[in-house]
Amino acid sequence: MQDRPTRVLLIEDDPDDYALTKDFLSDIEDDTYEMEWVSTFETGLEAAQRNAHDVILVDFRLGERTGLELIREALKAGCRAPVIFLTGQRDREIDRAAMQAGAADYLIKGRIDASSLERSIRYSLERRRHMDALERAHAREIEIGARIQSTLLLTQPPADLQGAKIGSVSLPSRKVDGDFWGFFRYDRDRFDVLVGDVMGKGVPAALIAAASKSQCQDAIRRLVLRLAEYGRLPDPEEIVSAVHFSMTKQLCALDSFVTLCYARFDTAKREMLFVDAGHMRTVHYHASTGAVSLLEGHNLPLGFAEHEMYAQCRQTFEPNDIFVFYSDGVTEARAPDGELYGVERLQNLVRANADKDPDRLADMVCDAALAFAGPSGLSDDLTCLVVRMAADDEGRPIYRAGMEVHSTPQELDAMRRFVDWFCKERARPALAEAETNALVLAVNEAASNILDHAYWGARDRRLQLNMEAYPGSVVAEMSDWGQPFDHTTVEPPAFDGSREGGFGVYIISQCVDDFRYYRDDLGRNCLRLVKRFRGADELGQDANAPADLS
Amino acid sequence: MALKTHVIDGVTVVTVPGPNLDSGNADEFRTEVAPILAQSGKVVFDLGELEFVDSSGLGSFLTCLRQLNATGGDLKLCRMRKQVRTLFELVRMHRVFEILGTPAEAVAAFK
Repeated sequence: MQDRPTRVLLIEDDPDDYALTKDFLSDIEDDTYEMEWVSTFETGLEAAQRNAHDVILVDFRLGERTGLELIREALKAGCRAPVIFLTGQRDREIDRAAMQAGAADYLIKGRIDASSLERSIRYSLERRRHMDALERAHAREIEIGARIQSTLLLTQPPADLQGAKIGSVSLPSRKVDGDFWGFFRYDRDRFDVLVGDVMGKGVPAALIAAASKSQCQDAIRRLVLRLAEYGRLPDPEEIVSAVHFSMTKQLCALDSFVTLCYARFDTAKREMLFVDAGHMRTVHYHASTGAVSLLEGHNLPLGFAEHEMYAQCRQTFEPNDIFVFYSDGVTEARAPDGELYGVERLQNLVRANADKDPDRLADMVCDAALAFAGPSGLSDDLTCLVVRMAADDEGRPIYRAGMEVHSTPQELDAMRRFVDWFCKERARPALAEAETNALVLAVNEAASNILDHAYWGARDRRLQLNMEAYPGSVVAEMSDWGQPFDHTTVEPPAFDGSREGGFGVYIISQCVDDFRYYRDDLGRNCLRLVKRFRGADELGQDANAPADLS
Repeated sequence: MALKTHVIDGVTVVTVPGPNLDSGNADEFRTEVAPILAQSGKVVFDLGELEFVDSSGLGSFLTCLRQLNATGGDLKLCRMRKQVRTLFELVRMHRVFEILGTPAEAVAAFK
């Protein structure tokens, strides 16, 4: 029946009872037992904590202390084996107390025989196995919920927004919350940020959150198509109303609700339109004054009232302003003395760290809440999303032009002429001849790399080149649908002429002041090349040029 | 791509056709020039027509140089425009190739 003996720990201060128990165990047919005997509370507790036994038998009286205390302490210390309580007389109070302390069974000395002891041990072990299976199932559920959360609910914000930068951090708690966020981009100036929280925890909350997010995407898609003939985008209040319409009955049926804040950022108009459906108040840091305000709307969460009218509020912003969205886990982080972290601390933290990068600031918010609560005071996920508006001189190009070509080398010449024209005719002031040539060369090399390494020579694919002129720089950005190509993995070229290839990436790096590769929100490869105007004070940069130009 | 060549003092001068040598035509140039290199050990590339060369074009010159060096021959370049020169300097190929002013100077450099 067994592949190994059942390991029994007996904690018993009476040698006669030890002998008796030993006899019972050896009388049991079919199964074999291996018993370890300890006779004091301390040695018993120590042995129980080793977790080296399948089952523990504990006497009620252990010198000054009792087996009840021992059970409580052992379980607290992580003891996994089922504990069977042995006592001299029947006492309902002790029986009940033993059960509450976590004992698996309660046996009365004098009434025990081999068969009843065997049965009690067998039942205890079986129950332990069921509990283990249940715990594993529960852990698995948490893992599934956490994976839904990280893959579907808390997706990466777009890294290449023009008028803003978004940072995000989420610290999952042991339970899965229904926190989610989403980003929807329309054009260079306008994007939406959606932050929500589903009431409840675990996989059900995660699934409702995923459904809410996809309902938002669906509502946007349908409204954008419907409103195209009027030449405008759907407003946040229209989007939230549509989501509300499609979800509220189901949410009521599921006995759940969703709080959310839906914000539209327009970096050209410098305004943010938002619908607040019972969500946490958004923190708005005003860069020009250093003031921090809280944005609050008027609506109920989705799933509360079927006939709720969703209405948006308008908030203007200035360059370098910051918006902080967060989950209730942040402000409701609780210190050991019961105090909440609260929105005021959050506001102060944002004000004091407004100069930080959005990712760093989001990090600091979560860290501060975590430090405030301590490891045990955190019951909810901590999520924080920071949107920082671009500074005045970044973000908005003076002029912009783009071209699209097929992926053939015959188009390289057209691309070069386009870059040359843009740098001379559209950049203000015009880029100098040498700098223009450098950017032309860099674009050429980047395009060649795309043809060879992203499209592998396929000639019917497309490649976009967008040029932007800024007060201090010209930017060329190329995007393609090919295989990801990471320039950082390219080996440096051989300068002794021993290899014919491998110069492309090096040439790009030498020709421009900054270049960055990333995958955009459509899954395209994007390469952004920046050529700065060389002011009189920057001529020293020539030191970076190859050493021997003689 | 028809290549114009002429021979001066036993040195073959190849006029590389312009205005561009990039990944659109570098392979073609490599193929076309190969028989010329096979026949003549001393070769000059006249780059006077070339306004733009990229890393593929540069790679094709390196192929030619190595092919000639392998058989004891040599390749020299001449009439290189400023923009092309910038690329050569960027990847330090001005130290790998001998670059001269005119075809006559390049031919003379073989003596």
